Amino acid sequence: MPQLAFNPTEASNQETAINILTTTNVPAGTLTPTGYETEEISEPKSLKPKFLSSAVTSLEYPRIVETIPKYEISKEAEVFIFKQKKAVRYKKDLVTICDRIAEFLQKANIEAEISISLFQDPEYSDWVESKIIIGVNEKEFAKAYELYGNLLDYSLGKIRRKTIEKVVIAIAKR
Amino acid sequence: MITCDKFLNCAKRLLRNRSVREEDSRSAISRAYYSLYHRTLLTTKNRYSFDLIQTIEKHKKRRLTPTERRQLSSLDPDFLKKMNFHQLLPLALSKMGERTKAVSFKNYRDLRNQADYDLRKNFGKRDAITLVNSIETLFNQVAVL
Repeated sequence: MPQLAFNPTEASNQETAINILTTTNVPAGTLTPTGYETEEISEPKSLKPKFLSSAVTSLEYPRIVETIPKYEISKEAEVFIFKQKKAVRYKKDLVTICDRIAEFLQKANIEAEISISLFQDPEYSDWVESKIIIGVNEKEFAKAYELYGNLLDYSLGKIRRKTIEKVVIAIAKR
Repeated sequence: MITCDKFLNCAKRLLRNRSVREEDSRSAISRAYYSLYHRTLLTTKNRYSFDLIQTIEKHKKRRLTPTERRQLSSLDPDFLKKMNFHQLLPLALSKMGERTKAVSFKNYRDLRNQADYDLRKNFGKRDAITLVNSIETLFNQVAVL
């Protein structure tokens, strides 16, 4: 039988043992001793959301952070983007272009829905690119096209040439 | 021999009537795209041949043979089709720093594809006029590069 480091039955330790017994008050089955103060650790506010995906707050399981996609991306486009060299950067560029397009159209008072799909040329099957579709109302189609050149100037500034070579930007009626 | 601006004039002529049938709207968009294609091809071949050849060689991952260079110089149609200059021209524009024109060009290619292949879409007169005008703008910009 293992020897206890602190043996409460020894006379010299009995007073200490009694003290311990009187200061703690733990009814059977209770997890938290009532004589102790407990402090709840709240969710850290300073950390960015991306860190919270693996952060464990007290008495909680790790949270899976679900981000709502900003622009609808078709499955085919996702697969195409994933297969590109520096795919993360390429996708980031596409989202940046979409953000700028949205900003430009908002300033021009044109309501639009922006989505990302795929351009595939019917005559050259190996010619495939991402396609950003700007869906506008029928009555704003002509106005959107009048501003098309300016819209491209605004949205493509300082975007990598590699991305420019693999993106089509189209205006469509929704 | 025909010049590329004649294709653009044809596109505008198709849309001049009071009532325009959808097949005429689609034809107008297609003709307008091809006017732009030929204009861009001539401009890059005549004034930016170095950029054009570099673009072709980079995209095809090999050097052009002397025969191919002659075919490019003479704008041999079989050579142009084999190489897919519809894709090479916007790449060349991008290499020349004309990124807006490059992306615009591809958009009009896409519209031409829809006009010729996608029977589900509707192409009314008003939309066709908008698109032909937009293509004409780019045509004029490319002409003065």
